[in-house]
Amino acid sequence: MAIASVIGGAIYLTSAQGKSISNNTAIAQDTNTATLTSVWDKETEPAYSGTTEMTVYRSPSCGCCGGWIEHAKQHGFKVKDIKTEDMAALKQKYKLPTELASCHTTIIDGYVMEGHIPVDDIKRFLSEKPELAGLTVPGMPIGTPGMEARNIKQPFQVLSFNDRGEVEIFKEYQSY
Amino acid sequence: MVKINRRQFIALGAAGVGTALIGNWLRQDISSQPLASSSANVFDVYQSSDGLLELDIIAKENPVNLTGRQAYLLTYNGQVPAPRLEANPGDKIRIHFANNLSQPTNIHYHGLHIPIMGNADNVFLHIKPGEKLTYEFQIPSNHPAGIFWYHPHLHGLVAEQLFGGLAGLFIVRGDLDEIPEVKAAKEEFLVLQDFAVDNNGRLINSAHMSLMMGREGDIITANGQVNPSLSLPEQGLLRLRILNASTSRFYRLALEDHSFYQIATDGGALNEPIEVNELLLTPGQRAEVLIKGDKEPRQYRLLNLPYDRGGMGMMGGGMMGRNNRDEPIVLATINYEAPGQSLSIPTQLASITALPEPQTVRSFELNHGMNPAVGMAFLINGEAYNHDRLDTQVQLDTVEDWEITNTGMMDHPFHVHGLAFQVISRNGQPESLLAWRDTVLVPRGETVRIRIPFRDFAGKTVYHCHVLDHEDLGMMGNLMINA
Repeated sequence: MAIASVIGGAIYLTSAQGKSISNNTAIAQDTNTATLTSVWDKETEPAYSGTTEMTVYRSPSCGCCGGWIEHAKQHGFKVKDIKTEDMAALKQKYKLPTELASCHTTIIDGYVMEGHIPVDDIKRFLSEKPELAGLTVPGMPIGTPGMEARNIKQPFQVLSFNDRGEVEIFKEYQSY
Repeated sequence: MVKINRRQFIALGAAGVGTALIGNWLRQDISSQPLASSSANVFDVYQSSDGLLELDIIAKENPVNLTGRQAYLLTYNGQVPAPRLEANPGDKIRIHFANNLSQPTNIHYHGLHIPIMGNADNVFLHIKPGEKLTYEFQIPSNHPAGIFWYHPHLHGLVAEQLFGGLAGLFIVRGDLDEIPEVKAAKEEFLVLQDFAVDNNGRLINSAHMSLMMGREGDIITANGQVNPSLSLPEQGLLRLRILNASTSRFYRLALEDHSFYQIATDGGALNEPIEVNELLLTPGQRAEVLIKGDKEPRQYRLLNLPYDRGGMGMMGGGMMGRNNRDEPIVLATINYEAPGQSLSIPTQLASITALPEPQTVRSFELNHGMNPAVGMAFLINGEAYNHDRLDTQVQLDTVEDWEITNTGMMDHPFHVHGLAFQVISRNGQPESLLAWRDTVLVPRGETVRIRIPFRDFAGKTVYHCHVLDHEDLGMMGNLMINA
């Protein structure tokens, strides 16, 4: 059970109720049968030879951006991880249209990479060096890299966008 | 969720599609034709008689007129919103429920203080498609009067079914209704819901909704209508009884040129009315206000003002081209009608007393993140909901303080089933207003401390975030109240 201390006549439970070590072990054992390997682990752009240094801006309170950073590292990117409270100002600075926003914003090779984009799509985009502003996966679709949840896989699109706010589909994921 | 056809270009100018759309809407509204005569007429109402409220409720998909078009919504008895139920303290309730949906479901009686086991407010019931169940319970004789409501609560399907339209008012009549000024006021109900349907009137599949933010629809309705008309007697009082039955959308209400005199929160009457210019209602919350008909007799718009509930720094949870976060939206129009009885705001409404000091203090942390067991999830104290785990065990007839901290980047309204509580402090600042609530907003980065008396009913129930996609994605815990 939780660790308790008595302050001012009341019991303060300092850890989660019922969150004992044995409970956690039980959950961990459950996961052995339902493994959480991600469909995004596989490398699809092995020949990529472009820039690997990226800067990721994220809110210190974001619970999912870290998962995407792990995904990027796994695929060979070196990540400069910057936590900032004012993501809105940052997105404005990079002229990201409101409708295209997600949680974290990545800058690589002068391009804006918004949200939970599969990083191999970023590699393909950078290899093409298009005259565009960048890529985005707007919102936070469940199932994207860093957003894997049980068996939920929301269809999503990777969109490219330019300085005039025009948008085109770069890649579509209906089922994955 | 954004959905763009291949090779389609969309100009995303600074003004954006959403702004233009809302602008149109407002202009249209100013020169608008008379709308529905009275929103009160839209509900079927079932009132108890001789101490019994007995009726059939059938959950089914049904064609419903939504903004002049046919939409196939999820309904109780074919209606959106569902029939309004009314009972008195001490009444017996018997609801013969049939599930004609294609999914399992059940009914949660949100805010009622009734048994949490058996065929009452039991969220663990699992009523399969085609099955029937009779709900039977008694409203305690000391139950406060107020606005309560009923909606599905089968974990994993709550958001989808509520968003389909399954929600109705459950009114308990009592002391508040007998206060002379309140009794003489014109009574209107407002059930606020939002919907997303495709061109064929079919509900948009959950896979295409913004589940992480909590789904929002672009069709915003009050009593199933866009911008219905209500009337306010000149010199008199309008008693507006409001429920936020949306899955995720917050409503920040304001009435042009008028203030609200709030007389009740979720759990019933306040001690005395408080004058406010705005009223924020999170999903699940209710409020009651009196409005004075003391301005120039004409039309006034009831507005939903922008509110940022967090998430992506700059974006609401809406759909592409419907980003209405930055513009007020007209929810209803209030028309002055012929002078009625001249009424003033009452001074004394109830006598809520502060609760005794708690025996136990617990802390709860709300956030989303990667959980080793389930992946991305919404979490309470680092855990996603597990049906088999008891998260919190309390003793009946004790009082506890729960300190709820939101360390995430989205707002979370926290709801406890079957019980009313008082807010003790927000971010360490003592709360001066004595009020009974069952749902309280814990804004991102903030801490709210609530005091809960566990009274009358033992058993297992739940607490959760009332952005119901967050609840379905794990932000819920099992509460065992031991006798």
